[in-house]
Amino acid sequence: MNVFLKFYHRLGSPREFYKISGTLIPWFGSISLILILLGSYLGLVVAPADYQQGESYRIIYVHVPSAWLSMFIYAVLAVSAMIGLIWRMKMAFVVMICSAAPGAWFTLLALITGSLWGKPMWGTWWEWDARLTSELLLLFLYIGIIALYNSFDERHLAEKSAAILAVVGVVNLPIIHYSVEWWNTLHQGSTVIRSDGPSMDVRMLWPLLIMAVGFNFYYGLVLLLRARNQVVIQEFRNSWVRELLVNKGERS
Amino acid sequence: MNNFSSRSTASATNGSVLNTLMRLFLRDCKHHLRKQSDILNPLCFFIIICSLFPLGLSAERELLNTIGGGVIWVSILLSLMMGLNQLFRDDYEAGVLEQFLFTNTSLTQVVLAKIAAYWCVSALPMIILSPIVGTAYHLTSDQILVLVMGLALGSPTLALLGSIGSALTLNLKNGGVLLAILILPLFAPVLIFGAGMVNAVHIGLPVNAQLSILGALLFGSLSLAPFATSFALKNSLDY
Repeated sequence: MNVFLKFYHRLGSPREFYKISGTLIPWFGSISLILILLGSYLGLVVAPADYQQGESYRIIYVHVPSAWLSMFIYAVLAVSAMIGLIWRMKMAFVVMICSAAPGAWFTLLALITGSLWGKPMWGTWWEWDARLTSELLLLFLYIGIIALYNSFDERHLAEKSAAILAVVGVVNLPIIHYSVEWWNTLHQGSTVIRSDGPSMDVRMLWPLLIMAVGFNFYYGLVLLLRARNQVVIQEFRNSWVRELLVNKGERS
Repeated sequence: MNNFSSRSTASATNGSVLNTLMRLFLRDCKHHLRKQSDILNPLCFFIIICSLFPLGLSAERELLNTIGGGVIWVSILLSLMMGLNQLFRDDYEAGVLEQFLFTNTSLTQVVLAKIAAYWCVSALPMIILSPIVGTAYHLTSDQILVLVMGLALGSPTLALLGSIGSALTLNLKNGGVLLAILILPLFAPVLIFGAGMVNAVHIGLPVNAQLSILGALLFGSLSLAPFATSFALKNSLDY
């Protein structure tokens, strides 16, 4: 127990985070690569064709994980924003701002893959139904957070403003998730996260879950890489950064 | 010009909370009435947008009836967004917001009073004019009734949520466009339910659900938004 607490305590210090992320990045990278390749193989080759949609349902293996990630990343963003606001932790704000861009990209990916899936299946590239519209609003929230952060000259103001916006916008997450229950939508209802258990065939479900976990590790990889850079940029004036850069320069 | 007499503000120790709120509210109303463009600009903007749509699309009765609720709602939303830029800016530039911080006046009360004054001065004339615009869009009388009810419930919510964005972008140079990007995801539910009511009534469906949700959004934002706004204001003032 003590080991875990100490580990989390170390994560809160920018200098220690830099070291820890250095060791974690290869692991996150290789695990995400393996899982995504495995999930893609299982999903594209091994899983059986759908009885209604045929082979074109297989875009689910990109669409659903990226949609899940878009919401998960926003949750991470909002929680780290709250931690940063309440406990004034530098690393919390670093995690917050470094998650914003990956989150926006995953949301965009979910919208685009959904649109590509919708054209052959529903006959339309886009509908203004609840699920699609709330996911679009999520994209606007991400863009708003990034834009707000970048329009301040002083970082501490930028962080707190973006954090306030992130916390205010978290109300969109339950709206997205429950939109298929609360409204009559074109988008299908929940098939995995249900009280009765998943209604998807097991051979289709496993590749989906593997892809989701792989995407998650990919997000972790991207977050660690960006946070590492952000820490070096933010802590530029500290001596440990200077030593680091000098040492790296000498070695290369 | 700006007249910020010290007698028109009061710290919470000088009287009851209601007294403070009333004084702040009246002060802001006075300020708006002296700067009449605050009232007239959003109102004219609203009317002009509503006039452009029949010109740009066809002026066919059925079409205008279908789009009328949405167009009026969006026009009011955009006009409110225009005014939200100026919500705190005059007081910020005159240094009054910092004085509120120094005198320990509760910024939450300041925010509430300001939003109330802003709503009375900007949104209320538009809500009063909306039946006239609705008639121009050939809305039936029950549609107009539902439109006004929805606007009465929804526009305070818009003002409250918009004040959060206004406080966040207070001291930014290009805060105007950014404000629109920030606020749009927050405005969308109010717009969807409010404008949806007008069409639902036309089809003959009940609108109790939308009214209830608009009321819930109003009371939720009324209780929570002032705190978020005052926190954002303190942040913008670098406090």
